Amino acid sequence: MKMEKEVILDKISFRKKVEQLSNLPTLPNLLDKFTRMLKDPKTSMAAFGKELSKDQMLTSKILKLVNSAFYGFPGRISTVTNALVLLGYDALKGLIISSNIFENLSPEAYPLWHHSVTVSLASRAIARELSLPDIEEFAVAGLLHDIGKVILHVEASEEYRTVINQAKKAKQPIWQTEGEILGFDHANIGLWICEEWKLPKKLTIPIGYHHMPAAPKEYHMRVAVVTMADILVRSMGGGAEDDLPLETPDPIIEKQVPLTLKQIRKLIEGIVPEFESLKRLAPKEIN
Amino acid sequence: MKQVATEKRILCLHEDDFAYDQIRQILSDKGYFVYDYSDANAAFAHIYNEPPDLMVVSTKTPGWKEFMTRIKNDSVYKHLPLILLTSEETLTSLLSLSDLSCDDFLLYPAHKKEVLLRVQLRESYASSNLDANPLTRLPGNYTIMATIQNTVQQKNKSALCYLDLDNFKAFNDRYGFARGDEAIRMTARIITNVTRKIHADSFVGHVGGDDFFFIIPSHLTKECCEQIIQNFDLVIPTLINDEDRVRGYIESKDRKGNVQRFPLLSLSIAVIDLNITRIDHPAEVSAKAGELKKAVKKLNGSNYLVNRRRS
Repeated sequence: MKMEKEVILDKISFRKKVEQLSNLPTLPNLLDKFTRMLKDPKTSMAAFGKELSKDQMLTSKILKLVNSAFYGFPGRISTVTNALVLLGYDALKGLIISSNIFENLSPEAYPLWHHSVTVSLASRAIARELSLPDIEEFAVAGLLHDIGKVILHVEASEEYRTVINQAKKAKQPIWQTEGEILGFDHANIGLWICEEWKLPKKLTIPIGYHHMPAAPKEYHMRVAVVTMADILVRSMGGGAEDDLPLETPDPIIEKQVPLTLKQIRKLIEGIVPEFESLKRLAPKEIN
Repeated sequence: MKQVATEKRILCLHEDDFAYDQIRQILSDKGYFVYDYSDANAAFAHIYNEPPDLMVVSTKTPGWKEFMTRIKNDSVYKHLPLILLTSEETLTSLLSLSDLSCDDFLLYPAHKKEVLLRVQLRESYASSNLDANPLTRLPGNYTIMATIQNTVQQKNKSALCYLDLDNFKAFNDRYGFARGDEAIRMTARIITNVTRKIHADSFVGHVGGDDFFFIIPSHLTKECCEQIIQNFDLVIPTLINDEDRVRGYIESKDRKGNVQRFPLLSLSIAVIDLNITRIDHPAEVSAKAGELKKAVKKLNGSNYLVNRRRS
């Protein structure tokens, strides 16, 4: 029997695997919707942009493509609207047609999707409340903040199940358990893939540091907004894995995002309707 | 290991068989990196994620024709060279290759030397597509002039549009040429995407520098120009530093070397509507565009002007 702690995922080879990923799966009901929209000649680009901002996979693929050396805007484009203007309809069509769907859909896929979309809504709402410029960029960072979890579900589903069960047993935040068992967490994975895909730093940093908001040297405000949105949504019961405890927020959050209780109440009231309607949308279409 | 960027990558769409294996072997032996696909959708995904240097498509693969048509109709990907791998029977049944949008073809069973030569030949063609602008891959002056001539002669109800950027020199001086190139590429993408979405057969050319040219049906002028301006004004701020965006101007030296304030990047379009002004000779077009350009350049921000009927 081995006495030392068993490594269930090798960091170096998993990172390599992540960097070579080119196609993340989309949820089947979303892909159906996009395909229907493609067939309708009346669909406007704006309508597409609005729907796409609910899908982590296509949003990340679109941003990857527009920031690639091939198009010639590396590290430049951080919103879906701008990306669509530059990529055009044909490329969008190609991306949608060539999308995979989640096979063997894991039970966490919908809660994770719901969580990501609501954190995106909350990030936008907080940025607006604080009168920050470029609120769409905050929404994108919020949408993609847990992209590392998607990758774990897709690329290491068995190992990740072990991590989730352990976190539930130990009653601690998922990222801490990931760190203990894997030696890296989902935010690290987010950072790896964003850097590999040459996404702008204003997205990469909030995605990579949303559990360590004091660590980066720049974009503190962006990290703090996404972290705050994450906490807000989880406190509303919108976590990706149910009933895991919330960690105490880093003091930098309060400094960067000085929200009063009144403002927080207003934000939550603003999010609730969509929070609930998204919840109703998902499970109905699972089967 | 990650592939070194200089290594040439070839994407092959094929049905697994012995004849193909030989070709694959020949290419890998010569240091090409070969990606194999038997499913057209998966091959698409690859191309959109990481465009190869060359594609080889076998006519034994289901969906090969749709694959080829889609790639060759895409304004960005159509320049990727595509070699059709086909059999003599298929070739005879096709009647003519000119209806297909491939760049070259190879026959099973392939001769080793021939495979290599065809691939190398295609590569050299692709890098020396003579008239295309290297920055935007849009057709250049020769094609533009020929297209204007055609349009004028055929008396089409078209609008000839000359587009250029305002204060581009100041932008380049402030941010450097690399970012200037990005602005040019963005402009090219915006014009192409808008015109193609509104009218699939639109012509878009790149005269050079920050000068572009496009042709659209007369009745779509307003929609097209307004959409181009709207998209341009939406995306261009991503190229402006935050401090300049807040101030609303950039500081740069004028021609005499004095530091001056310049407005942020905008664009001007001069439109010669052939429905309004009668043009008998292509040379009249550029003279008329020149006058119109002067007028539209005097306006602040992004604008377009259409020629008026002489009263």
